[in-house]
Amino acid sequence: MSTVVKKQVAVKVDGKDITAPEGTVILDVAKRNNIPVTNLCSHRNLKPFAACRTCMVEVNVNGKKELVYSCTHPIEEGMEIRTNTEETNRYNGACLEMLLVEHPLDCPICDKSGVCPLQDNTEELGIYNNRFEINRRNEPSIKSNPLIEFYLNRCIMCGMCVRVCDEIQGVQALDFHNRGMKVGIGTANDEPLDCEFCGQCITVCPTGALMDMSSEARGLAALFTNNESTCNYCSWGCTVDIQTKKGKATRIEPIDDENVGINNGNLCAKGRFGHHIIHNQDRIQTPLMNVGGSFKEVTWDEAYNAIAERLKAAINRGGPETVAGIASEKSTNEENYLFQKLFRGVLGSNQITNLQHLRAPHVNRFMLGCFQNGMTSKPIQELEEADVVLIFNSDLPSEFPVAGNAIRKAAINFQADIMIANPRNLVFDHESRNETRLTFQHGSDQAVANRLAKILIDNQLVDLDKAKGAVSNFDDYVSSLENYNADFAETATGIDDETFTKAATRLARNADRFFLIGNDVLENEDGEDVLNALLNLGTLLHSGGEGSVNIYPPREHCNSQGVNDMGCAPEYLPGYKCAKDSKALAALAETWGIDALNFDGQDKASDLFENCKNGSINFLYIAGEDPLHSYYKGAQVREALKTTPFLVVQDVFMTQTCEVADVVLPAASWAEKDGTYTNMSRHVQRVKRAILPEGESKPDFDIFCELAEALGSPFQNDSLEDVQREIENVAPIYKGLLPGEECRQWTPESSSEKPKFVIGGEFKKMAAKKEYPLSVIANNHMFHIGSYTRHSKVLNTLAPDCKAGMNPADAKRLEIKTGDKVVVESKNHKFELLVEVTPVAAKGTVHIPKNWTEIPVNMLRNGEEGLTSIKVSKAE
Amino acid sequence: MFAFSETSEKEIEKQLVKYPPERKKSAILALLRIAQQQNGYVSAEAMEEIGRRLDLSPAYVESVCSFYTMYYTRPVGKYVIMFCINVSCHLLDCDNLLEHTAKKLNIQVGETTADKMFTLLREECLAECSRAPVMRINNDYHVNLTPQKIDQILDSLK
Repeated sequence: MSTVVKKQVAVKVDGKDITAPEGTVILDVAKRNNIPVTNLCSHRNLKPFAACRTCMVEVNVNGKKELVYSCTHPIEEGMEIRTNTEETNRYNGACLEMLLVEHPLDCPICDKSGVCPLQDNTEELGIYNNRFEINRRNEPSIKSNPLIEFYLNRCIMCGMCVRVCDEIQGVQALDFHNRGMKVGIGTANDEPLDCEFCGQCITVCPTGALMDMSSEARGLAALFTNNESTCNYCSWGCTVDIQTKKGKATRIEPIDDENVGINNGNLCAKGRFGHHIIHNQDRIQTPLMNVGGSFKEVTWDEAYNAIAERLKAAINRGGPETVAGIASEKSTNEENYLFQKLFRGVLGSNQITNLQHLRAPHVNRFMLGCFQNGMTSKPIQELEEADVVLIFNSDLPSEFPVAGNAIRKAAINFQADIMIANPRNLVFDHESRNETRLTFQHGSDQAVANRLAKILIDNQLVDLDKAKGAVSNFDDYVSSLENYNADFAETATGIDDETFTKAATRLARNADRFFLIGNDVLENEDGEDVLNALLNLGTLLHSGGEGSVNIYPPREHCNSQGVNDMGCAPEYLPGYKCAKDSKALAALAETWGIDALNFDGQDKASDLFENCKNGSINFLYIAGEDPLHSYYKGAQVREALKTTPFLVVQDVFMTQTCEVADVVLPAASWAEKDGTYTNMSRHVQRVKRAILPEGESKPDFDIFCELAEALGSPFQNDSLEDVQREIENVAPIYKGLLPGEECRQWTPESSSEKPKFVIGGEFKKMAAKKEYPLSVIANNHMFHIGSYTRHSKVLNTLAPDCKAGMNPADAKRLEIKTGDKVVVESKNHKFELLVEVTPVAAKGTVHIPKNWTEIPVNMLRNGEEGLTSIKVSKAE
Repeated sequence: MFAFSETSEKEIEKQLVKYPPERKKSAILALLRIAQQQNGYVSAEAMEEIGRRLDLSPAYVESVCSFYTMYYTRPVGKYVIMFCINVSCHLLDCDNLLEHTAKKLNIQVGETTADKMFTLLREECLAECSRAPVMRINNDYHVNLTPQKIDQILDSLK
């Protein structure tokens, strides 16, 4: 909830007493209380518009009767409202009749048939005969872009697509053309749609004038089976409806209901159109075994037996701690739980980790630090009611597009402060008049956060006595910030102090503040210091300011949070219990029905690939990750995987990492399994099987259970329900949250430790090297995440080529223009790719998306810390 | 490619100072007018340029531009004839007068003559019912029209 308090107003609707916040329009009050009022152009996420004129109600104030449009008329104290009177039905019906003059009755072949408000309202008002002469439009449908079909004969000019595109997506790709009888919807100059392809216009279109062309199966909504599940791409965790027809997953739609999930009916291009990774010809169909350099198809039993045999041999030879596993940020909680149970409980090895934790173990420490300092963070749905949003080094429109939707709503309803701290000049359009751009020099994130904190203290913008009382090492913190004066900060970041002061002042006001931190933070060596600086800034505001501070750790994939929650990290048992705590280990051993959990104290998992390389790991099991492509030390991984005597890789697609495995196991896709994901704001949400697994692939859950059996120690609990009960028992933070139907956030156990600032990590200005004058900013492309989406033909059509984004000034100096092919070269690696000259790219940096396997951005860095320095030249 | 001329730039500057910077989109009607004054009509490129100046998408600029009939989105002749077809004029036989005009110019309504002299358009209500039927040629009103009067006017413009 925003800190803006709205007065409650009491009204009567159809005799029922209702109270609602001041300013709410009648239609919303009615809808929220399940009182049906016909309407076609109103949507809870959009501003009132009054285009369709079919929502008239009768209003009585002080004995005076009035007929008003309920979608624009706000409630007043003591108002008596009557819906569906003979009179209002007559008016509403007449307007509907006029809409039906033009609307074609091709319902049997319409995508919206069955979920169409025009049908519903026609039935509601009993319009069986139209008094007007029918004059249907008969224009051909427009298919000039690859995804969204415009069949404008069905358009009723409600303007919802235009408004959602503008207000919620901030794009304005669609708008009205002409007026009066000639009015229509279209793009500028009727050119093919070229936008973020979020598909929100399809979601809100009430009549099937805009349709999803990505799916082969079309037509009547009633012929599809709906499966409510959670998206498997980014960590925002949108609820999606996987729609199936004849056993095939054919399309994905959001669930347009504010009470379902965290996304309030919003979805992005990847979530909506990226479903072709489910039925895909590139999927691995059977288990494969590497025999003399080429893969041979084998049965599951042969694969399990080979793995079990090699596991036992490895353990006999070097002890249990020579077998290690990498869990997946894309597998469900239950699967990850079983994976660590397999290693800890069955094999006796604590050498288990996940790629995010391996790269940046400080992210988990940061999250636990926030809890310790009292910032447990509200459910992310409340972002729509934020007062201040700090988007810190996040390419939000690509990284968390749906977060952008919520923020734009906060901008409209609360004029929220939007602070964008990023080296790039991100495009983020919204309707708030309070925007602060903290455009800093690449690599100076820490100085930005620390300068803001210093201003809060120096200008006494927060209650310093209160903060000092609440946090033990307040004085140390103040002295650690001593250096961050205006000049220092301006030199380091390139931001003038007026901007800093404005941002600090807005941050300090009584507000609900949300900090969204981008995954870019994980790229640099100083990531831990940056997160600590943000943790301290948050703690200062939390302890000395009014309102709330909600701060979420950067997480990339759909279950990057859950994989850590489930204990797939050497330091943590499930539920973040210390893996060295003998009491916790004993309790876990008892639950698992084994004698004892004794690990020999070696920590090989924290530098796993180095340990593979030096021969101290005999067996590596990678469940659903592609470190060769995604890990920042590409060459080290290659060396490590070559050295490791036995490598098992389990994945949906034949990745580069699969290619070098000894055994490859085909995993089922997210649409083919049951379980839960936990999103970056700790909401535990249901993943629901919509179809049967492709080929011989199996859910990771089944694979781990069957492997335990092949090893001679089957899990006692091998059904989803039982494993979920076990998780709730072992990790109390998950108690009552599974099977995830209710989408609730887990609450950390209360900490006995006193809040404290995390001090240390002096700011070092990172400069590009002379011979490599530019630095790389690498993150996910707007239409891609990880490498799975590259198998989606639709997303590939939207973004076929990897393009390096370059600032116009740099491009001019190097005589490079958009469309040129360039050589990008670092000390470690070089490759060629296309260039796009864009003012979004910061001067001195090159933005390269990391999703193209043929453009291995990770190899440029290859383990080097600091900024990845490169030079760019025109290709021959 | 569309570019504003120096005169237009000066005029734009004058218009922009009328609005606070965060609400500069209010200047859209003025900028459309300036673009039309310069080139005779508002091209798609001009709309794009106006969008760039005011932080608006080309689609939005087009929606505003195409809402008003007095912005032309295609090249027009030296004289634009806007013929009122609303109630009062209609009752006084404007349909036949319009047809007469079209025949005389040898074009269809909505078209421009080959010599680029005349463009003939229908217009809703010119707010001059008391002297209907009415047409407007550029900025001049011509009232109480008859076929003879129309011939006379058109001949005088040649």
